[in-house]
Amino acid sequence: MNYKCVLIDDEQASLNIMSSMVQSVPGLELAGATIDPLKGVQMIRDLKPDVVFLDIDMPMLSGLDIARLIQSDTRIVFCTAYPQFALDGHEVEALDFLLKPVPFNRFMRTVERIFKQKRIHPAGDDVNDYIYVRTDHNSKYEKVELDELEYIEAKGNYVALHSTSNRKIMTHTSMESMEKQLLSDNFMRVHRSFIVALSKIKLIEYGRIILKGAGREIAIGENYREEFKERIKLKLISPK
Amino acid sequence: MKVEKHIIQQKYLQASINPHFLFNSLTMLIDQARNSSREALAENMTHLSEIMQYAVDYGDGSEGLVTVTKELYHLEALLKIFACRFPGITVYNYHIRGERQAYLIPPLSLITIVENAFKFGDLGLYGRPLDIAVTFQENLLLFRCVNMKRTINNKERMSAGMGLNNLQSRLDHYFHGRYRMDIIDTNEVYDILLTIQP
Repeated sequence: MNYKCVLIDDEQASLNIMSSMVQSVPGLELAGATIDPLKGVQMIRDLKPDVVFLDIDMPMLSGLDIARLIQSDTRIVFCTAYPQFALDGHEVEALDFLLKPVPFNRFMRTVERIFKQKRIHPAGDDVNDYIYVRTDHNSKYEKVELDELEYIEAKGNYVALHSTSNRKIMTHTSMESMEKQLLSDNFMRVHRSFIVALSKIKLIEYGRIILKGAGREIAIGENYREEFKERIKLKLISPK
Repeated sequence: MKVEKHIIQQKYLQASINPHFLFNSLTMLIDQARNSSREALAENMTHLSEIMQYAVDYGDGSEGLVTVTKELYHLEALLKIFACRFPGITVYNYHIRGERQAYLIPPLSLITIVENAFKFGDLGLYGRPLDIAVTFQENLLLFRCVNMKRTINNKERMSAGMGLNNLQSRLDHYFHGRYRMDIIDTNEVYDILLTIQP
């Protein structure tokens, strides 16, 4: 079970650097990152991260403003290019202050402090690595390991769960309740009839997804496109 | 004496190119070094070193005047760096009107104004791009810079205008009675028009 992190910084470059540092440390999970301070506040509310890395000098809402809005047990690490801000920040209780550009070894000192904190979502609360699926009327339930689940397809009143090694399980339920069941960040509805495991994607092109393994092709529905783009944005290395 | 001059020089330099700009630009360069093309990185490093060189060369304010063209060259480099720091967002509009003249102005004067606007302006997702207009007329140089203001919510921002005070004293020195600095400062907008009779 990892420490959930959210990053808020109005400069994309700084966000990229912090994201890659967070992702490189086992035990930290990048739950969200945004250049939009308003979205950031929402993210903190929705995700209840253990730690938020917060830029101070942003328009609309400064990092200090956001820090004052945080009600939960989320700990704050301020990131700033202004050394003077470190002083102001003492009005708000912070776990650490990082000066930009942030060197990796300095970041690791912050990580040590994070690991000494109590997690907001303790382990055991979050054993979401498998689900049971009812497969016939005689109350037979089959176990589906989530890391093997590739995609889910709507079939009338049923959905089909496709796992690696061509295992397919049919169950009587709706896509909506499947979505709710799969709490993991890895699953995403991309079409009226499809939910995919993001980790199983091989490539994305012209509004469709090709999965690893058997190379199954899945269309991205018009209504799901924006959200999909948003979800994969952090992983995108866009051409200059 | 020497030490004192050094301190003044440094203060001056900080007023014109603030450390915030330098460190955020370096952060951008580190990211580019990892994620972007070498050409883009080299280009931005060149821009940044040219600006720093320019600031250091003229940092003591004793070097006299430079041509507007030279000042604009460095201003444009500054703008390019700002643009890279906020990809996908238009952070400024920049126009030059009239035929370019070889007027002489104090170095860093226009840059100070723009830097200030970037620091205190709200140019981001919910803001508006900075409007910069340079107009050459006969025996007249007009420089206008308009920005939407950020909500003032920390001490750092209260101390706006430090660079501008400095600029004003330099303009007084060179153009006493031959320049005007008109500032409209409302809750939302900061609009500065500098008119110089060179």
